[in-house]
Amino acid sequence: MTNKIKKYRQQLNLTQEELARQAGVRRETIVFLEQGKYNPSLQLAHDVAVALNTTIEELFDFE
Amino acid sequence: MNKKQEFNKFYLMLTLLGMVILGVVLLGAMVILKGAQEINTYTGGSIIVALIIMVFAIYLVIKRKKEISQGFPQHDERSRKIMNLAAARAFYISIYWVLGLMWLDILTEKMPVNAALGIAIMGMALIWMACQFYYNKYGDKHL
Repeated sequence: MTNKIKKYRQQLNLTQEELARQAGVRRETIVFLEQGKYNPSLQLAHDVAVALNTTIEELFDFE
Repeated sequence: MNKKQEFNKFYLMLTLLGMVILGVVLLGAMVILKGAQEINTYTGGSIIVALIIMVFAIYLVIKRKKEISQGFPQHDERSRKIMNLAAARAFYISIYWVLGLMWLDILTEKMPVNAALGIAIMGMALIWMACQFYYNKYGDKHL
Protein backbone atom coordinates (compact mmCIF):
# COMPACT_ATOMS: atom_id res chain seq x y z
CA MET A 1 0.00 0.00 0.00
CA THR A 2 1.36 3.43 -0.94
CA ASN A 3 0.14 6.86 0.07
CA LYS A 4 0.35 10.52 -0.89
CA ILE A 5 0.41 11.95 2.63
CA LYS A 6 3.68 13.83 2.12
CA LYS A 7 2.49 15.37 -1.16
CA TYR A 8 -0.81 16.58 0.36
CA ARG A 9 0.91 17.80 3.51
CA GLN A 10 3.41 19.84 1.51
CA GLN A 11 0.60 21.28 -0.63
CA LEU A 12 -1.04 22.57 2.56
CA ASN A 13 2.31 23.82 3.92
CA LEU A 14 1.95 21.70 7.03
CA THR A 15 4.83 20.28 9.05
CA GLN A 16 4.75 16.69 10.27
CA GLU A 17 4.17 17.98 13.79
CA GLU A 18 1.21 20.09 12.74
CA LEU A 19 -0.36 17.21 10.84
CA ALA A 20 0.22 14.91 13.83
CA ARG A 21 -1.52 17.37 16.14
CA GLN A 22 -4.47 17.73 13.76
CA ALA A 23 -4.83 13.96 13.34
CA GLY A 24 -4.37 13.38 17.09
CA VAL A 25 -1.32 11.12 16.82
CA ARG A 26 2.37 11.24 17.73
CA ARG A 27 4.86 12.70 15.27
CA GLU A 28 6.62 9.34 14.73
CA THR A 29 3.37 7.88 13.43
CA ILE A 30 3.24 10.49 10.64
CA VAL A 31 6.92 9.86 9.84
CA PHE A 32 6.37 6.10 9.49
CA LEU A 33 3.12 6.63 7.57
CA GLU A 34 4.83 8.90 5.04
CA GLN A 35 7.63 6.38 4.61
CA GLY A 36 5.01 3.72 3.91
CA LYS A 37 6.30 1.56 6.75
CA TYR A 38 3.15 1.65 8.85
CA ASN A 39 -0.29 0.58 7.62
CA PRO A 40 -2.88 2.64 9.49
CA SER A 41 -6.28 1.49 10.72
CA LEU A 42 -9.36 2.74 8.88
CA GLN A 43 -9.97 5.25 11.69
CA LEU A 44 -6.45 6.70 11.47
CA ALA A 45 -6.58 6.79 7.66
CA HIS A 46 -9.84 8.74 7.97
CA ASP A 47 -8.40 11.15 10.56
CA VAL A 48 -5.35 11.87 8.39
CA ALA A 49 -7.51 12.30 5.30
CA VAL A 50 -9.77 14.78 7.14
CA ALA A 51 -6.72 16.68 8.42
CA LEU A 52 -5.47 16.95 4.83
CA ASN A 53 -8.90 17.95 3.44
CA THR A 54 -9.11 14.90 1.22
CA THR A 55 -10.53 11.39 1.14
CA ILE A 56 -9.05 8.00 2.03
CA GLU A 57 -9.39 6.82 -1.59
CA GLU A 58 -7.43 9.82 -2.80
CA LEU A 59 -4.75 9.54 -0.13
CA PHE A 60 -4.09 5.79 -0.17
CA ASP A 61 -3.36 3.53 -3.11
CA PHE A 62 -4.29 -0.10 -2.40
CA GLU A 63 -2.72 -1.68 -5.48
CA MET B 1 -3.64 22.56 27.40
CA ASN B 2 -6.89 20.64 28.06
CA LYS B 3 -7.84 18.73 31.22
CA LYS B 4 -6.71 15.34 29.87
CA GLN B 5 -3.28 16.70 28.95
CA GLU B 6 -2.96 18.36 32.38
CA PHE B 7 -3.88 15.07 34.04
CA ASN B 8 -1.32 13.18 31.91
CA LYS B 9 1.38 15.74 32.76
CA PHE B 10 0.56 15.51 36.48
CA TYR B 11 0.57 11.70 36.30
CA LEU B 12 3.96 11.69 34.57
CA MET B 13 5.47 14.09 37.11
CA LEU B 14 4.12 11.90 39.91
CA THR B 15 5.68 8.82 38.27
CA LEU B 16 9.01 10.62 37.90
CA LEU B 17 9.00 11.74 41.52
CA GLY B 18 7.99 8.25 42.66
CA MET B 19 10.82 6.63 40.71
CA VAL B 20 13.44 9.00 42.09
CA ILE B 21 12.23 8.54 45.69
CA LEU B 22 12.01 4.75 45.29
CA GLY B 23 15.51 4.63 43.80
CA VAL B 24 17.01 6.72 46.59
CA VAL B 25 15.20 4.72 49.32
CA LEU B 26 16.19 1.32 47.86
CA LEU B 27 19.80 2.33 47.31
CA GLY B 28 20.02 3.87 50.79
CA ALA B 29 18.41 0.82 52.41
CA MET B 30 20.81 -1.52 50.59
CA VAL B 31 23.87 0.42 51.74
CA ILE B 32 22.60 0.77 55.33
CA LEU B 33 21.47 -2.85 55.71
CA LYS B 34 24.43 -4.52 54.02
CA GLY B 35 27.13 -1.99 54.84
CA ALA B 36 29.03 -0.27 52.06
CA GLN B 37 32.05 -2.62 52.38
CA GLU B 38 29.87 -5.75 51.94
CA ILE B 39 28.59 -4.77 48.52
CA ASN B 40 29.83 -7.60 46.27
CA THR B 41 29.82 -8.10 42.49
CA TYR B 42 26.17 -9.19 42.37
CA THR B 43 24.98 -6.24 44.46
CA GLY B 44 27.23 -3.78 42.66
CA GLY B 45 26.10 -5.11 39.28
CA SER B 46 22.45 -4.98 40.25
CA ILE B 47 22.84 -1.37 41.41
CA ILE B 48 24.35 -0.42 38.04
CA VAL B 49 21.60 -2.20 36.07
CA ALA B 50 18.93 -0.66 38.31
CA LEU B 51 20.44 2.79 37.71
CA ILE B 52 20.47 2.20 33.93
CA ILE B 53 16.80 1.19 34.03
CA MET B 54 15.94 4.19 36.20
CA VAL B 55 17.78 6.65 33.94
CA PHE B 56 16.03 5.18 30.89
CA ALA B 57 12.64 5.42 32.63
CA ILE B 58 13.29 9.02 33.72
CA TYR B 59 14.34 9.90 30.15
CA LEU B 60 11.10 8.40 28.82
CA VAL B 61 8.98 10.26 31.38
CA ILE B 62 10.65 13.60 30.58
CA LYS B 63 10.26 12.96 26.81
CA ARG B 64 6.55 12.14 27.25
CA LYS B 65 6.02 15.22 29.44
CA LYS B 66 7.53 17.41 26.74
CA GLU B 67 5.36 15.81 24.06
CA ILE B 68 2.20 16.28 26.13
CA SER B 69 3.11 19.94 26.69
CA GLN B 70 3.42 20.33 22.90
CA GLY B 71 -0.08 18.93 22.42
CA PHE B 72 0.71 15.38 21.29
CA PRO B 73 -1.11 12.39 22.82
CA GLN B 74 0.76 10.19 25.29
CA HIS B 75 -0.16 7.12 23.22
CA ASP B 76 -1.66 6.60 19.81
CA GLU B 77 -2.63 3.64 17.65
CA ARG B 78 0.93 2.84 16.53
CA SER B 79 2.60 3.33 19.91
CA ARG B 80 0.04 1.00 21.56
CA LYS B 81 0.65 -1.69 18.94
CA ILE B 82 4.43 -1.31 19.31
CA MET B 83 4.15 -1.52 23.11
CA ASN B 84 2.04 -4.69 22.92
CA LEU B 85 4.40 -6.28 20.39
CA ALA B 86 7.49 -5.38 22.46
CA ALA B 87 5.89 -6.75 25.64
CA ALA B 88 4.93 -10.02 23.93
CA ARG B 89 8.40 -10.53 22.44
CA ALA B 90 10.12 -9.52 25.69
CA PHE B 91 8.06 -12.13 27.55
CA TYR B 92 9.05 -14.80 25.01
CA ILE B 93 12.77 -13.90 25.19
CA SER B 94 12.61 -13.67 29.00
CA ILE B 95 11.55 -17.30 29.23
CA TYR B 96 14.85 -18.33 27.59
CA TRP B 97 16.76 -15.80 29.71
CA VAL B 98 15.40 -17.31 32.94
CA LEU B 99 15.93 -20.86 31.65
CA GLY B 100 19.54 -19.95 30.80
CA LEU B 101 20.05 -18.54 34.26
CA MET B 102 18.60 -21.70 35.78
CA TRP B 103 21.07 -23.86 33.85
CA LEU B 104 23.94 -21.56 34.82
CA ASP B 105 22.88 -21.90 38.44
CA ILE B 106 22.73 -25.69 38.15
CA LEU B 107 26.19 -25.78 36.55
CA THR B 108 27.95 -23.36 38.89
CA GLU B 109 25.92 -23.77 42.11
CA LYS B 110 27.38 -20.47 43.22
CA MET B 111 24.52 -18.06 42.74
CA PRO B 112 22.66 -16.96 45.87
CA VAL B 113 18.86 -17.00 45.55
CA ASN B 114 18.44 -13.24 45.98
CA ALA B 115 21.13 -12.56 43.38
CA ALA B 116 19.55 -15.00 40.91
CA LEU B 117 16.14 -13.36 41.41
CA GLY B 118 17.61 -9.89 41.01
CA ILE B 119 19.51 -10.81 37.84
CA ALA B 120 16.43 -12.51 36.38
CA ILE B 121 14.11 -9.56 37.03
CA MET B 122 16.59 -6.90 35.94
CA GLY B 123 17.49 -8.91 32.87
CA MET B 124 13.80 -9.07 31.98
CA ALA B 125 13.52 -5.30 32.41
CA LEU B 126 16.54 -4.78 30.13
CA ILE B 127 15.10 -7.18 27.53
CA TRP B 128 11.81 -5.24 27.59
CA MET B 129 13.69 -1.95 27.16
CA ALA B 130 15.69 -3.35 24.23
CA CYS B 131 12.52 -4.76 22.59
CA GLN B 132 10.72 -1.45 23.04
CA PHE B 133 13.62 0.41 21.41
CA TYR B 134 14.05 -2.11 18.56
CA TYR B 135 10.36 -2.39 17.64
CA ASN B 136 9.89 1.38 17.86
CA LYS B 137 12.58 1.76 15.20
CA TYR B 138 12.13 -1.33 13.03
CA GLY B 139 8.92 -2.98 14.21
CA ASP B 140 6.42 -1.65 11.70
CA LYS B 141 6.83 -4.60 9.35
CA HIS B 142 5.74 -6.87 12.22
CA LEU B 143 2.49 -4.96 12.94
